[in-house]
Amino acid sequence: MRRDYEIIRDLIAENSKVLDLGCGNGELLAYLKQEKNIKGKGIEINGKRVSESIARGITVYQGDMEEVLPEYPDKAYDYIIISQTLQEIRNPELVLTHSLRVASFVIVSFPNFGYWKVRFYILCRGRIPPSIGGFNYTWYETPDVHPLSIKDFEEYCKIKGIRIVRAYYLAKDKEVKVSPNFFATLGIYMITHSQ
Amino acid sequence: MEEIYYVETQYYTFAHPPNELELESGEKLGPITLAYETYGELNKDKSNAVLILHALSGDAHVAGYHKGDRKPGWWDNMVGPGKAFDTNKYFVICSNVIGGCKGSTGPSSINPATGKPYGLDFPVITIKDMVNAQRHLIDYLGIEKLLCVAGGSMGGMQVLQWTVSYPERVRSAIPIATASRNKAMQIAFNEVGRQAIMSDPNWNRGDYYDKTPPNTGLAIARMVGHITYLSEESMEQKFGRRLRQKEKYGYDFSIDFEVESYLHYQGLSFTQRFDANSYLYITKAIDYFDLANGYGSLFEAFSNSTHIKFLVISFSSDWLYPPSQSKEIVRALEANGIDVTYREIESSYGHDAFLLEAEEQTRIISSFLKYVYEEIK
Repeated sequence: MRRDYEIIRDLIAENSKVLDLGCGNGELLAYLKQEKNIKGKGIEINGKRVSESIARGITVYQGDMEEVLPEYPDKAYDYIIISQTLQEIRNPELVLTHSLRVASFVIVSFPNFGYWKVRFYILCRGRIPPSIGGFNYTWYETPDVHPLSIKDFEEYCKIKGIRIVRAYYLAKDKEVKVSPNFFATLGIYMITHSQ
Repeated sequence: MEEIYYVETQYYTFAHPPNELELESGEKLGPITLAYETYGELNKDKSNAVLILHALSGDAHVAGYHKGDRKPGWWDNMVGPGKAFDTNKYFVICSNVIGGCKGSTGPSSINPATGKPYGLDFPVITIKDMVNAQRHLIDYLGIEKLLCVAGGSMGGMQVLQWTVSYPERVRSAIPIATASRNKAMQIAFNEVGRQAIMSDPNWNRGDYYDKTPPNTGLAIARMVGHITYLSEESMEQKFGRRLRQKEKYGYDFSIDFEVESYLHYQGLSFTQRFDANSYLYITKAIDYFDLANGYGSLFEAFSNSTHIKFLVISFSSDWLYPPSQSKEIVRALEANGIDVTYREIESSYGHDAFLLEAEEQTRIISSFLKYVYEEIK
């Protein structure tokens, strides 16, 4: 299994209620259901992926998370997962704010645009690098409308008074110990508002 | 080649006086006959029964062939061996509604009190009454709990009513292209249809069964209805401005355009298979439908349905029962903490998509049913 999924699995308690924002084909929720017996639900806007989730036995809502999340009651879920989706969201602030309200803990992972190869790409070539998630998107095709770095995210949490419970930094599935904003390709966080 | 699946309509009669069915209006109806068909085998513990509910002009003949027929049932692309509602696994039941004209008691049935067809003496019925009648059939078939209730359009309304009236009898529900209440525009179209029928001199206040029926009115009602089942895009693709068997405009009021010819054909063929009074009663039942009625809100209506698993399906180009109305249902279910999956299928077919988009519906319905069935085994 993907290393980031394993980390998320270890962060989640058995039998908990989990909402996955941008659940894609439901792979992560199916994995968590199997490993942690969670009661899961996904929100996904892409119809084909919604059908794939249904085929895995996942409960899923086809629609725009920015539209439905504000309607969910407080603390309706134990965890909300935003797995490599944050950078694709039109209004990440709205989604983060409501996620922290709707769930006790929010697990966020995103590709780190502070990664050294991205920096050198721009520095040396003077061009926008292809997405670091392994997809060769051009600037006009990329779904990453809000690229961010590990430093950006941690500063955001500080400003907003969001508590970072755990943080993991990965580069090619290996944990990064030093200068994560320079060496990591992926950041994974568990954050909360509660004290 | 696919094996031809033959089926026969069956009939169940109940509510004999003095035990008539009490209707929502306060009136009583009995005896009542329901026409129904079944497919596949009911398993030993009677846990594999799926009830399919039909739309305005549907009937009990959901799939397979009647001997001698060239066309199969109305949802044959979805019901049968290996299909979405797999009759190798599930025992599928489809029942005609009361008020209809396809073998169930309706305005064209003989009124035992007079020995003549009911006509307008038939009491006004509601979606809730239809479901109450079906509940008697399910009792008769010895089924304690339905694995699933499913249906599109008015069938979806009955699905929702089942989950609210008899939640303890339902494990899962698939309301498709439907709404929890008929809104102004939907009532408006139905009223145009009813006025077309009632303005036809042959209608004769519903008393026409030994005379020429109000075919012109019924055909116009169907033409209006049919437009609402399509979409701007699908009509443009199908007809555009193409002319019907002519090169130039006629400069008269004969048929010029293909779309006119199509609607005339749809209207005319409908008069050969449907009763005008049934059209009045069933559209009225749809108009009266408001699931929240008597509960205060839609949220409260579902408060006893929390154990039911839902799959709500809508279609992007359906402007008669648009996705927004399916989302209203989903919100009320979610607010109750009910397990609900929502899928909005991309389609240009408009409301009719629920009858036509078999491939995508098969994919999700067969998966959904499979997991629901596995859970109880």
